Amino acid sequence: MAATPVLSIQNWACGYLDEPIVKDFSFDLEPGKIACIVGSNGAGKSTLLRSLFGMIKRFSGELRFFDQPIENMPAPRRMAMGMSFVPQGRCNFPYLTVEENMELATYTLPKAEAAIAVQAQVEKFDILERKWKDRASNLSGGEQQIVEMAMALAVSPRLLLIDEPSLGLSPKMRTDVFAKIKSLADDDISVIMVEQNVRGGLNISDVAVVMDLGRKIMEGSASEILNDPRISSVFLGGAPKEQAP
Amino acid sequence: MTPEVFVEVLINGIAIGSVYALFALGLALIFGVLEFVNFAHGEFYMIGAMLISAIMIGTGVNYWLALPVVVMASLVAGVVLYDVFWRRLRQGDYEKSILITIGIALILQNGALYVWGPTPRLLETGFTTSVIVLGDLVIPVARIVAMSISFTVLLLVYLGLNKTRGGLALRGVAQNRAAATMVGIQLHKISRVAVGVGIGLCGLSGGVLALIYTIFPTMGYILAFKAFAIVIIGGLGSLAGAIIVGFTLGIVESFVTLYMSSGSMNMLVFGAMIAVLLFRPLGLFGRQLRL
Amino acid sequence: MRRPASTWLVLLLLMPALALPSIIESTYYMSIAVTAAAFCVLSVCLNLIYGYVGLLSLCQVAFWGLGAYATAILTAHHDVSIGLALIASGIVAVLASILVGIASFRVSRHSFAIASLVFALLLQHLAYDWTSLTRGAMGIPGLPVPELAIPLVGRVAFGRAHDFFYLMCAWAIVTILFVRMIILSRVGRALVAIRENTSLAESHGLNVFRYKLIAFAISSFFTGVAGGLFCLFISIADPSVFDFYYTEAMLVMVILGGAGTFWPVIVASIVFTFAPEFLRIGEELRLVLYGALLVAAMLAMPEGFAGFVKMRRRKRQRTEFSEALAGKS
Repeated sequence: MAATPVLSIQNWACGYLDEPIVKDFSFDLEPGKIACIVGSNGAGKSTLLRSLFGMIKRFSGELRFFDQPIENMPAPRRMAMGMSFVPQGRCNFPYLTVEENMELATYTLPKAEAAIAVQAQVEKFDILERKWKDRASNLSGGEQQIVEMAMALAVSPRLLLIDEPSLGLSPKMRTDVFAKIKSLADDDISVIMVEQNVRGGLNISDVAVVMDLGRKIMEGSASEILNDPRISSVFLGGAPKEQAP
Repeated sequence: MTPEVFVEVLINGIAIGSVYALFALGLALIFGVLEFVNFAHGEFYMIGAMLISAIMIGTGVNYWLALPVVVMASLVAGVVLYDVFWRRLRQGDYEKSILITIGIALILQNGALYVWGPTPRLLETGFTTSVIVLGDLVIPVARIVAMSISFTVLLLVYLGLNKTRGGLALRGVAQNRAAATMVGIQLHKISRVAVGVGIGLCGLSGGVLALIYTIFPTMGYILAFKAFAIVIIGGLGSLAGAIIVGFTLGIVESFVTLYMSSGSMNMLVFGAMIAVLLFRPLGLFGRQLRL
Repeated sequence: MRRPASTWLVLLLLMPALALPSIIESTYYMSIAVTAAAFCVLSVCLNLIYGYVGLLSLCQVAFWGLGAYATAILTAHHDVSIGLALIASGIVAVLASILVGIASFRVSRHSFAIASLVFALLLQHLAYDWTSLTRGAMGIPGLPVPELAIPLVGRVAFGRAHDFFYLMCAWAIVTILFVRMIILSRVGRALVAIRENTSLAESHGLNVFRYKLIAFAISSFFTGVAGGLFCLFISIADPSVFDFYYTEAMLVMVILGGAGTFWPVIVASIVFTFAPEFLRIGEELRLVLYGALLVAAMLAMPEGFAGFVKMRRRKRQRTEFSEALAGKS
């Protein structure tokens, strides 16, 4: 076996009420890799992602983050260990300025470190500086998505969990967002991404996991999955470029 | 109306309005963070007023020592309220939260009736009947004191919310709970602070309004009517809305009751609330002035 | 779920209650029985709007008080006949409910709860302050005694509690039958659909607003008439009919009985009218007790007693089921 996996999921089951939604899920993420989870609506992808960050109930299974068991830790602890999460939908503070949003993003860091962390993101994402004093709700959808990514990255995570980053974005913005995610690997940040836009998501990913009815039904390199005729017939609908909305 | 009377009525209105603002601010703060309406808010205000009177009579300390004690007690009551009741509720459990707070209101109000009896009492401070005379102008000292305390506290709350990290985090939680979790804010901690401060403000407003009005165990019930109308008109969860409408109501009331019965005034308040619900359901200031 | 036969069965079981006036001599206990019948109407109506539609109405007491004042003013000051005055009471309450409903249904459930409470508080203030109409705190005393010409029996005056009991019971039975009919009808299923998932109901083409308004109007009508009857019983309408006490008692009955269940709420109404009288505690402590019960119920058995029993049963079944499974493997 190669290097220690960033995240090791073993026989994972999680859900909201009495019944687990995700069952018997196992997966190892290698350092610096981008994994894309695909599957039809209701396959349990977002549920899985939320449970990895500790936001919903775990039924059974083990979760190791750089070989440390974390399945019983609350979300803020996982965050302190280097895990960040960008949930689906808007997850910024709409009536605060971009500056205040970034300040809250580094809320868990000591004050001096926080300022440096924010500065690092400002250098990476030029949009932050341009919209510094604007309220988040006044930014376009794509701009808000970038701000949210910057917020998640401000605490220098080693693993980023991101749910549907391209949802509701224009094709141009979508390309930008995917490019940003792809470039995270250069900073040694691993990514687990859930994406409805299968083709766009798989194009920038290293590995792919296909889920259905709460279970993993296939795992492989992104290009393998992308070129698998069964997958393209189910999820890509034979559409040449974009998945139908 | 002579200019002197005008000024006197205006000062009276600002004094009462500033206390309304404090009271409604507490209600709005709690709603902003938890999305729960505290139906026992009027009772915590009443307890604040009864308590300050009980402390002053019981121990003989003066107003300035008793007031901080009342505020601290209210703060603690708020924290207990949160940890014992609200913390267990999920978002969207608001009927449950309404019923719990109604139950608490019942216990407080009737407990107070049982302990203190229904007779109205007056808070005896050294300055209860003192006035300042400026030419033809006669201004009761109690109103000036009430106003000064309220303004100071409103300023403190403003600074706390806008100039501290905790305040920023609190506004963050009020705006987007999911995002607050994402950035690692501990929701329970912030919610506890919000409820503590909210009930603290409420107890404080009881202690301050006791300078102006007589106090009795059913007083909270009467103020609650106005406070709920204030937060609906100002917009649920809008702090600035609560403050602006609170002041406006105090001033308008002060002038209008010169010419009208308090019954007609209440009709007016209710009419304004219905009009706002019909035409501006999010309140006069909508989302723009949210936390 | 549809067991309309149970309606008749329960009413049959309640028949012996009609013999109460000939068993109980004490006027005091008979008055409590009249109050219990009135509370049955109140809680059945609140249950319709809260238990079945999911709207926490805090202004049922306003309809009750409006009904009382309408009957009192019409009969005492305008010589209107009692029957007409009672119908007018119901109509006044319905008009008020439409006003409150139109203003606050469209907003949020918070706004509805607050607006309804503010409306109830306003009416009590008005009853005190609008002295030219209500005579303020003195109230309107000396209301006429209802009389009814009954075939074979002749004219009956409902002056004593023993006789008035039949009148209030008759209204309670009419209310129960009508509300039960509504709940079991197509309208009732629509109402439950709205409570369970408003947006889903809307997407299926239900006019949510209209259904809510209908339910609210029905509950206010029966409550208003009951209020009129009650003030005839105590022979005075004064601002205390708007007392928050009624709201609290209604809530305790509906919540502890189990909002959204039908018969348990009625049982709870009777139990919670009589229990405090037997406990012989002062009004303040009674209300403290009600408050504590409400809080405890919300924390321990939010579905009410009926729901609590159901939950226990379900839990037991589940344990038995899993034990059976464990035994097999």
